[in-house]
Amino acid sequence: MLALVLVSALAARVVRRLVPFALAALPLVFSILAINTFLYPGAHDTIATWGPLAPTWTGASAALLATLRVIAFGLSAALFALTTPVDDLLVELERRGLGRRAAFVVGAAMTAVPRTLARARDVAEAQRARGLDTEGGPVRRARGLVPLAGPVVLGSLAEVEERTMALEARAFTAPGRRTLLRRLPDSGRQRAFRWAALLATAGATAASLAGVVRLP
Amino acid sequence: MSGAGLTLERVTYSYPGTRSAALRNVSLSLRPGRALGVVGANESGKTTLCLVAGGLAPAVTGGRLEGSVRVDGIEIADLPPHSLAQRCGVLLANPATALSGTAATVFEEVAFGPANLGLAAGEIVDRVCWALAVAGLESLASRDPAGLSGGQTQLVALASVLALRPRYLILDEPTSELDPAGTELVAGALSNVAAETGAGILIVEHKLDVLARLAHRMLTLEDGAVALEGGTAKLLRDPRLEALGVRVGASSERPPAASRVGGGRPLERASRVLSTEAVVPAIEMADVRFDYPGGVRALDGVSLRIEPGEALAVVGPNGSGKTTLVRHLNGLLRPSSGRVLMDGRDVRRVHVAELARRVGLAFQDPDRQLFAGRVRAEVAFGPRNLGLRGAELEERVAEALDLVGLGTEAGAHPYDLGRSRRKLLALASVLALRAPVLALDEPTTGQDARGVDRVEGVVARAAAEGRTVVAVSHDMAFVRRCFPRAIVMGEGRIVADGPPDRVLAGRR
Repeated sequence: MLALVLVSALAARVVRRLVPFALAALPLVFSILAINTFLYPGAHDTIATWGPLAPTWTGASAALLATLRVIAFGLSAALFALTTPVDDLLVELERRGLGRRAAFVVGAAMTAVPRTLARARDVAEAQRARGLDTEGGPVRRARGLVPLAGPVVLGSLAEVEERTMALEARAFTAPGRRTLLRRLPDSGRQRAFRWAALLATAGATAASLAGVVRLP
Repeated sequence: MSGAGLTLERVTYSYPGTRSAALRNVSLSLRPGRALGVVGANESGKTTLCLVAGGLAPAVTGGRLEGSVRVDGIEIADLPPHSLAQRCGVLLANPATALSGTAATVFEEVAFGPANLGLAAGEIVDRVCWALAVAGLESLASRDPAGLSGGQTQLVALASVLALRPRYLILDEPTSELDPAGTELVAGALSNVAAETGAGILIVEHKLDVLARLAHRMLTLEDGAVALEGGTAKLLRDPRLEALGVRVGASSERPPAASRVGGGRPLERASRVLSTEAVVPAIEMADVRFDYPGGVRALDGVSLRIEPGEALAVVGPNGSGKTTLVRHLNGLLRPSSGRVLMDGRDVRRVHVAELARRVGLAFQDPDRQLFAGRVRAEVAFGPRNLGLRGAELEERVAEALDLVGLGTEAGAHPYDLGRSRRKLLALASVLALRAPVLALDEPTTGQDARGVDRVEGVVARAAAEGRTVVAVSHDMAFVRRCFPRAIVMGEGRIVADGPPDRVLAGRR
């Protein structure tokens, strides 16, 4: 699975951009490794004993497995986010019959994080421009987050009414289907690949449930 | 009354939670193919009139409405919003919130409305191309709307409303963020739209020459009621206009084309450099280039020297790099290459917060600058960071609020003020820093006569105190009155530099 993700990332030339995601997972990875290796319940095949610490082989292998799972899962989600433009996804969802409101909600949810970050950046800039020092060491940066929270939330709420009016003024609530201007290229090979991926997933799950293959 | 037209009959409207009415007993009638101009002081009810005439108040805002608003004989409250959107196209005053935020390109943003109506793709493309051409936006069609300048965003918002081909256009200050060329383009385009498509236009506008060109009739609002009404030519000569807070002198005079200017520049520069060679400049930019992420080059080799105590205006078309330039002055943006020196120190090595003691920057969009829950807290934020407390802080806040005429609003929530007063509040929040350099990004936008007077007073006072003032502006009258020196930007470069009378000589 991890190999698949990495190969796809290579093909899409986004490996470099996956690095921050991998780094963000590091604290989690370390805690999984440490807890499993040292504290695996009922494992006795100790590797060594350092005072109260007794790492076990069982624990280490379980830790490695769990880590690989987490990384594979995290990176495949990150890969999806990096390679799928939100607008393309929404157009496709709408083409497949998702209502415009539902599509807008999906889109708003997917862009909520970057939008909130942008608003937070605006507020932070405004505060720095008026003498709030948030540059420099991590403590100072962290302190800069406190005065951000309220304005970011309130600012987003204050905009809601204007944005609602803007959407109403653009006939957003009209009944019937929206016209979709984009048509995403979707070749026979892409379709075949999607079906193959779906079948492979179903097959692997079935095989695992039936006990034929043990999936990690 | 029935028949074609957008009519308001004895309309009184109050926002929810307020006792006083924002519109009082307003009656008006707009026929297809005609244009009605609305002027008035800040907070006189102009924006509310747009919301009511466009059916957004009270439908979206809530509140209470008496009287009747009809479009082509149908009561506006009886029309579903999407059907109303095809009859009354409303352009709100704040371009930042007017866009859908879901489109990846300007083309798709403009297509958002027609696509919502489910029109055929070919029809949508025709409409979008037409609307983009009307607004002069063809060259930006494939750009990301999120990366446009303030003025460009306003043009996209206008095109987006035009693409719905409404029978009535309701426009709240459609040219406020536009340069003089853009203003002229929009004014001309709107008269064509009215003539060609037979649309009726209700337009709120501070620039009287736009109304002189476009509007058949005008009305002025005062405290939510119609004060004067009549034919445009006659009303523009009415001596009472000035008392109503209308900017009689405001115009959209064109700045010069780049090729026309620059002749006087070397001499001008040489004399200044000679006389002040020993003085460390307040601000010096040396071959500054700046690229936004995504590759748009906003500054392309800007070199500029601003002496202490100098008042400098930065003018130029929308998207020419003016805002990017002033955001370099307090370190919010750092040059991709080149250097910015503040009192001889490279700003790259100085924190923005430290620069805030030296440079107070008032942003173009007040909503990106304001964040506090009370007017007083907003203004106190800066001086508090500088270490002021107690009586000294109170005094600083009161002084700044008085300078912009908001002394009585200290306890209000910033969002309870109209946009023009939020802009003055943003200015006050910067004035309270008492920084030696004052940088203002489009300070007169959306202001009535009193608001412009206040801004001019602020600039004059700063200059008298020996502070350095740098202001980005499209308002040529303001530039001529307040600034002995102006630079003209074009495509990220300085194309002219000198006294406004020379560099702005232009067409008039």
